[in-house]
Amino acid sequence: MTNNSTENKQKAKAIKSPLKYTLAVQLLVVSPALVVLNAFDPLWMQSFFWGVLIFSLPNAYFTWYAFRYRGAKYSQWIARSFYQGEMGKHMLAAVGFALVFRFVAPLHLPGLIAGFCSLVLLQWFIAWQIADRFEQTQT
Amino acid sequence: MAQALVFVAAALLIGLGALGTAIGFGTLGGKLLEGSARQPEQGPALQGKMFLMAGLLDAVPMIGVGIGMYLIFAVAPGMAG
Repeated sequence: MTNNSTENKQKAKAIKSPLKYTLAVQLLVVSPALVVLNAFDPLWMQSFFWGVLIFSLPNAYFTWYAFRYRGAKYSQWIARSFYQGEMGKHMLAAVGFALVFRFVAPLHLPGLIAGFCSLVLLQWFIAWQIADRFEQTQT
Repeated sequence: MAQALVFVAAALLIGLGALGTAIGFGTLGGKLLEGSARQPEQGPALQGKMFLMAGLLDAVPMIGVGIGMYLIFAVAPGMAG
């Protein structure tokens, strides 16, 4: 009985789709931050938003690629998929930065960097959660 | 001359960062294959752990890409002429 309830709790906490989980947590954390920043300085908020977007979209691409295949049988494809996802992430981030620096004006650089770096830090927490809870979906 | 040096600096920043990430990912991928071959039941756990390590591995090169793009698209044009 106790084992069953523990198992059910574990299953309820398990992450079935890492991509959806990542996007949901990012949205949940960033939205209030944007509202607060908008109250202080709209330009700061706009730059912060661009920083968030430059990280978030390539990261979603990488997460989708990283979990395209599952199971030990496909480990070679998983490794290949991780590498392709990472390559795409770097390219998309470079294109994102280039587009923002070229076409967005006025831009508050510290706000952009703050948005980007805060998402990098948030991603560590999300990745830790996924690493901890993803394996439970397989049992 | 100064503008050319800025482009070289950006190229080195992005290129060396990408090289470090590539080496790290090669090592990670190799360990994943090795671990999955030894203990296939640990495959999903290893995939999750690899995702965590990938996040830690590519943080600094990603910021390097941002600074490199800033040098190319914001600093270098201001030095022209």
